[in-house]
Amino acid sequence: MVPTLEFDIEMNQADVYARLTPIFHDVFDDDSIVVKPTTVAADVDGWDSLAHIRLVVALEQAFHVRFTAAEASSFENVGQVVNSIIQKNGR
Amino acid sequence: MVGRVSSESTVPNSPIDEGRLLSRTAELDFAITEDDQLAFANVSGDFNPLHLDADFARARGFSGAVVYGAMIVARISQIVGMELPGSSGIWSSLKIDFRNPLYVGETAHLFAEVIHYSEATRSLSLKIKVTCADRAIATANALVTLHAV
Repeated sequence: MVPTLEFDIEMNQADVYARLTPIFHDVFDDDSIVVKPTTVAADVDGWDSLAHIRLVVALEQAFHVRFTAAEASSFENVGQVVNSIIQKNGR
Repeated sequence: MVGRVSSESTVPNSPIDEGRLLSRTAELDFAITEDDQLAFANVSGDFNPLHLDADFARARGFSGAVVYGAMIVARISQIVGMELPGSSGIWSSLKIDFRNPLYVGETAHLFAEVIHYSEATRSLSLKIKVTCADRAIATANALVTLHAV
């Protein structure tokens, strides 16, 4: 059976979120963080400019993607980051 | 201490040539002396005899006075501040594992390479290995951000 496009996208998003969570735990040194599409910097203690750099670099290395400076500063929430990662991976 | 570097000592600030950054490596050989150890003890306040008294260390199963881990970090700082990338960077993260003791007077080899460049954050990720003969002394990952000129 060939999965529907919608189903496939949902699974890919689930995969990205599953890999995203331990990255957030490591960068912010907080295993209680629950990463959701609506998560923004204000929701996470310690999400300052240096932590933002560590997060962006960790995401680039984990997902083998590169963000531009414009992209990195335009993300409004985690959901947009995830969508960008999926798009860059050609999924 | 003998140091050598594989490429230029400074990184151009603009535009960044990512290909050149990714190919950059730096390495140096170093040995820590008893005087170095004592100087660090005075700076840090850590007078643990394991680092200062070879007989004390041998009685506890080591082969001699153990070099402070911070002395290895100091040599990583030398690589970051002087070579990768030099004056255009500021250190923002270091994760290090100490794998085997380095003893006072031994010559260690430090090798660092740029494994990732983030255009979005203008940051370099460095992978660092410190060895002594066939012993792994430490492995580390550092993140260095290039500052604007």
